[in-house]
Amino acid sequence: MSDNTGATNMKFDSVRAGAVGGQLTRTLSFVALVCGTAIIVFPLLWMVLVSVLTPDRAQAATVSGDLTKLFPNDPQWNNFSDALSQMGSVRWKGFFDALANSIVVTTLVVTGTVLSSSLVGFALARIRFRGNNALFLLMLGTMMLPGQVTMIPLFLLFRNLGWVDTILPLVVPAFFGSAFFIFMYRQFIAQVPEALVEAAKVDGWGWFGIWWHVMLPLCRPVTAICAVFTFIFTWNDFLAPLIYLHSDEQATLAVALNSFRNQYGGVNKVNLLMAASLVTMIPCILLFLVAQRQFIEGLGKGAVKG
Amino acid sequence: MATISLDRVGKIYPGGVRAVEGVDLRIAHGEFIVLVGPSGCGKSTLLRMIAGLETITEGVMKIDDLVVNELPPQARDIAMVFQNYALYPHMNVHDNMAFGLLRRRKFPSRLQSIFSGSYNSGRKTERQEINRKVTAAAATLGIKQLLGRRPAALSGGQRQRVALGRALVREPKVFLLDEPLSNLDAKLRVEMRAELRMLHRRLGVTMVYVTHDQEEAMSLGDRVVVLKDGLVQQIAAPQEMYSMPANRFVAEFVGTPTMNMLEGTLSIEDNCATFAAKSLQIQGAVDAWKSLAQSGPLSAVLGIRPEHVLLNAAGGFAATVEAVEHYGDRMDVVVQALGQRLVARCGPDASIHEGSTIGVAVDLTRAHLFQNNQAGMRIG
Repeated sequence: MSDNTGATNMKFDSVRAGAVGGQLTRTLSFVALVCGTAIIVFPLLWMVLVSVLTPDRAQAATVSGDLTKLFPNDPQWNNFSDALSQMGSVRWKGFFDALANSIVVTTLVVTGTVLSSSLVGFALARIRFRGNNALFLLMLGTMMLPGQVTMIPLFLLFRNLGWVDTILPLVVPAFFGSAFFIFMYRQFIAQVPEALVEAAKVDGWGWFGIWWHVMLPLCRPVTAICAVFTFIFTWNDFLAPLIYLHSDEQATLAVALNSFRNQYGGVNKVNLLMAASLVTMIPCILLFLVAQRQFIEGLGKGAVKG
Repeated sequence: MATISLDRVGKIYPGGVRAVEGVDLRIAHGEFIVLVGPSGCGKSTLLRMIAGLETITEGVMKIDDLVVNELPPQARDIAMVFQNYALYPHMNVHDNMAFGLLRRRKFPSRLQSIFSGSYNSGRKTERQEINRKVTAAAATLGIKQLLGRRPAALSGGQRQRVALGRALVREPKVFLLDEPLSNLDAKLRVEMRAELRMLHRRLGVTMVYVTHDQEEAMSLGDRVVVLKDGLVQQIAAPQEMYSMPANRFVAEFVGTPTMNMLEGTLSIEDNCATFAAKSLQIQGAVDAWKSLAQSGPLSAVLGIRPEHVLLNAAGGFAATVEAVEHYGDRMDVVVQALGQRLVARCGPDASIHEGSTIGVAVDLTRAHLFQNNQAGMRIG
């Protein structure tokens, strides 16, 4: 009897110890998550707060580092309209030109990347031809090259083609696929049962028909990742538009934001820069919120299937 | 409807593995041919070669006198039902069935219609025609109420019907079916078997069907092709295949329970045949075997169907009953005599008990005799 009681007590102790341990782990995890979130969210919060400050307060909060001035006592909502209207050299025109350019470039780049990467990924996964694997490895090899290495040769190439100060250098390469997304599509398509391709062949469809009608709809999770990543990268891309687009009329939003910097590289109106930056970020945030489910599902699938 | 002819058709994979060898086969208009054999015998490969999904490395294949060796599946006017159905998961049943019809639009004529301004009306007519065909096929298969559903929301049997419908709606020259019933439960399989047979009779179209189930092959086929290791063992109507198997493999493969095989020697004396399997001797007058064993005892394999082993019979030999399996309408009885084990089939009312000793006789006139070698060809 006493033995039993002892055993029961030991069991309770171990359960209690387990419960305490579990609680501790949960608390530590919670603290770690809160810290992580704070690190991620702080710059965004800082940006939001600065965007509604008066010029003096913004200057004190940022350049002078007085964080007590960070909280707006008199939010300047007109900062947003001021910021957008002052973008570029002509009032409002700079913003709308840049917005239109960004929309055109991003739409074309996203469309091009999705279509070309899925097509190449499909070919590499499904069409048996001599050198298939060698081509795939070669393509993976290009992922190891840093962008800076190809920057100057590419600029010279596009300059010789007369494409500088047009959107072509930004858009055309997207229609030749992206190594990373080709890899993702290839791995995903390799998991699709071969019988579906064969059934479509027997139904009378050729490779393009199978890609368009069968594979692309099945690859929706990968397409969501590809589209969202490409959208965010292209929308926010500063370097490539800066290199290739020289005139104000061609500038994208990311480049147009640069007009808030003075000739010495400093920022005169940091509150307006933050307000304009916040507005340019809205599409990315909205897109992520809309595509969140597909995006996370796709990331999971990508992880499992390669 | 179409004829299919295979002339010395073979398939060697790039690694040198031979999957199919020297197949000669003529399939008539509207015939139901079943390819059957154990796993790895090359039956699915042969079907896929007819479909154009596998290249033909040897021989000539014709559909309606047209050599199709180099033709892709799209150009062969065939329809195929896959083992796992291969329904497009992102399309509903209607779109799955209509998918093969959309492709049949002719591009040049569509381009002309765009320029002549009749594109929209033509497209509408085309869509109506497709809907009509899909609805008719769905009605034939009893899946009209499922047209709006996705494959994931269908049961195995329903998916199987949709896969059939997808093939049916295209009105192809040839239907190819690759083990379409293997994923269904036993009861549904028997039901679908009968439906397939009726469908074939109603459509009168040429069908090539692959299965590993000999019972399915025998019940469905006008003719059955038995394959082993890529080689055709026998091509015959089911009844002929059962009663006159070409070799020992076919004899053992066809029929449940499998044919009893006794290895021994055959000797003929005064018109009386005696088959000796170790110390068990079976005697009988078999005119057909008279010409055999003229120059002394012949080493052979005796094949006896279970229904030709007679139990509680006089004039035979004594055997011990080892096991009795009751099936309601019949009984399978395993008996042992002088070291030889035989399976017998008898009526459900026979008074036979495990462990008892009974008289067993063999009807030699209905027995089969095979060579006692690797080929095991039929000799009597």
